[in-house]
Amino acid sequence: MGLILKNGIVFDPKNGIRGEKMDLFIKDGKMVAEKDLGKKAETIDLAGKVVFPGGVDIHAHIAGSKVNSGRLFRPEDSRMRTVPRTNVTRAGSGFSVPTTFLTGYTYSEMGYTTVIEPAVPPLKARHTHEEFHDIPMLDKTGLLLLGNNHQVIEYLKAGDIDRCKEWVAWMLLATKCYGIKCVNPGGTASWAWGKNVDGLDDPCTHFEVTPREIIRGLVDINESLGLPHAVHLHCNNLGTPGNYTTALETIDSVKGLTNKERSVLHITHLQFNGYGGDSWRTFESRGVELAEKIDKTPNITVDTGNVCFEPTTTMTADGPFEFHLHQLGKQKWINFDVELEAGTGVVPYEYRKDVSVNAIQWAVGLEMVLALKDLAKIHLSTDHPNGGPFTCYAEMIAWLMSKKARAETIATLHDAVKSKAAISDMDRELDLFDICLITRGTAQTLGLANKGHLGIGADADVAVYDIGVEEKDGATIERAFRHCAYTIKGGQLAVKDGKVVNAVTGRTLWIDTKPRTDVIEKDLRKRFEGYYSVSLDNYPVQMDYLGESEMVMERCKK
Amino acid sequence: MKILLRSKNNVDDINVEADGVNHQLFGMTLAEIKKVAVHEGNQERTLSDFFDVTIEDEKGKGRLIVLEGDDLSKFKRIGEALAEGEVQVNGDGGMYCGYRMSGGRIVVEGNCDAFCGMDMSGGELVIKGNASDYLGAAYRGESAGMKGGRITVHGNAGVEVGSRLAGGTIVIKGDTDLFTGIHMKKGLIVIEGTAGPRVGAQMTGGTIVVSKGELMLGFKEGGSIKDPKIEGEGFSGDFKTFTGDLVENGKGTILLMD
Repeated sequence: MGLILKNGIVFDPKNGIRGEKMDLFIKDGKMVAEKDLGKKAETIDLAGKVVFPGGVDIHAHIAGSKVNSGRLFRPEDSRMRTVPRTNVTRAGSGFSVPTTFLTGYTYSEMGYTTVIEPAVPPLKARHTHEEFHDIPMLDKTGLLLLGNNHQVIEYLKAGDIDRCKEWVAWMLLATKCYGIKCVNPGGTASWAWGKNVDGLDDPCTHFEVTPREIIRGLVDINESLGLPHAVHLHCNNLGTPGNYTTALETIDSVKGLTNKERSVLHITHLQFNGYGGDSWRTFESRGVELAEKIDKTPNITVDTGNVCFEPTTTMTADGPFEFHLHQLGKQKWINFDVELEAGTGVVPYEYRKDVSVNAIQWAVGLEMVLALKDLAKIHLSTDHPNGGPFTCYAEMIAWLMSKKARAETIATLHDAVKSKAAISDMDRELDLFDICLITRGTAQTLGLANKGHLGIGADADVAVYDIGVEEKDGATIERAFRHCAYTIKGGQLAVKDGKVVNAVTGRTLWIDTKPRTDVIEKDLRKRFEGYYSVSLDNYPVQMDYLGESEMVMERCKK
Repeated sequence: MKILLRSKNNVDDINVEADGVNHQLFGMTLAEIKKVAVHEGNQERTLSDFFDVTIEDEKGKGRLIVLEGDDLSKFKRIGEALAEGEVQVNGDGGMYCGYRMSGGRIVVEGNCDAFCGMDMSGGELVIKGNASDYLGAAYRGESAGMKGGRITVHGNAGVEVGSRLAGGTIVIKGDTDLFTGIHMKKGLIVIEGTAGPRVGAQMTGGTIVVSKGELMLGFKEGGSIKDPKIEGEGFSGDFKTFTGDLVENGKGTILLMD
């Protein structure tokens, strides 16, 4: 049976629709033309309500071994939010690291329908897929950690791009992941020796390859394979005073590399690399400078990595950063070394309004958006749960849409936010089109052609918000974006009045990279027989692990 | 006002979570008190399913809840989040008795099960029998536990008494088991009997007064002190002072009776 969404005020940036009252038609999980609807169709009247495509979160740590480690070593986070079961949903718990099912339900209640897990260690891919299987309501996929993979680094050191390309293709297919993630390139590899790198041209320990070489190499490979998404980069020197210069240099490092469809480099949670000053005492915001740089650079996209003032659980493959955070706050700490591939750290953290650095961090993330002219280049994220749980998106949207809401928050923050950040003087208020762009334009950056828009043939993922087009009251905006009026996932009504009414399953998205295994067979055998604790035959994730899945694209033929 | 909850002695194997038995009952009518939700496993029940409820001296100024019955230890979370008034348990107390209490007083005439007084921030918990493990401790994973108030145990206590203590006072008139005051930061623990092994492990602040017990190597002996007064409490006799736990660069104090 079809579905008619009638009289809604539709926003669809990809198709240039800016708040037009129109009807939408859904059949067999896709957006269709009225003539293709068929005879039987249910109608939902959305008069006075705002219709967006389903939200696409480009960067949220929702599944895998580090997320589960966060759950296991933070039982106190679990008691901060407990949700009983209903007739259609399972019970769940967890504030910053919610259980798998609760993650799916909560995203859906906020109108999100697709989420990208941005840090899958290849060796832990099986675990990640097992958790994907238990996250309902969402389509999801993972980005594969390759920036500190020993074999990748050795190929790049030798300048052997051809074999490196096949290694990357083999890894992506073996792990059923979607794209290349690069975290503190060279830094995490050095962390195995207790070291880090301090800039783009600082060679990593043992391998003697620079972060610049790793980034350039992976971008070359990404383009050569024709992958749907750019290289997804967590910059070096993250979370340190003065690190905005590293971000600027990183943006320049891919100068001259272009792609007609999308960016070639996506810098993630840029807020954490938006700091001036040379110590915590002189710490200041450089959000505006970064926005100006992004506007001037054609081949870059970013996501924000905003912080909100909540207790949360930081987790990243940037092992040395987590150690640094552990030393700063004296909180408990987990450190992993994923053999030959990556590292991970997990540390609890609370962003506090009365701490000057935290108040400035809050400003950096918002300033980057408010100062940017081309909002198609930036996407909303909290780097869940690093800057705060994804449930804070509603609050972020309120701050972006309402100067009054920002001013009310600034009044409660450490005074440093007034002198060391520009946000107090920023008048811009985003409208609903802008919000739609920064939360749904992600699909374009990810190369998900059927997501993030409502054109004919798109996946019927739709979010309906009960909000006036001119609404400027922060609390009203926050309420509307925290609890959707309706969420439709794959053509099925999933959420009504902010509550899950149908626990639909989502799909796992993957790409067929068609690796030329013959080119790397000798290296595979050497690496697995000599060093890995897992045999080559047991390493790839079988298709059975994916549950419902969709192959989004095949390797570029060129 | 005195609210009498007489157990019907009908609790089966699954303990009953009676977290609604706290000061909020004082503002209710008899009918409302009977309907207060409790949980038996995942099933919601009412207080009157397990107790005969009566009110005495309804207009009196006193605020007292009395629990009576054969085995009250099957009722968990009695007095949770208590802010005022008094709860008297005429028998053994169940797990989590006095959990998160911020004021008022709870008196348990018998023994108490694990996690009693956890996360307390004020008020007083008196256990006239023995206390089990994790008395006045932090919730698992939390960096800070009890922050204020006072717990007195007339008998012995189990493992990890006052773990991650961040304020308040715990007095054990008997002995304690392993790891008393582990990770403690502030506050005072007094063990009038024998402290179990590894007392004060990884403590960074606060004071533990011990009559008898062996200290770990991470504590450095200082001078002696006579009739010390700590956080308003006076102690008679001669004590050796120790600082530690040096494993954590700790600046906690253990006073060991000489």
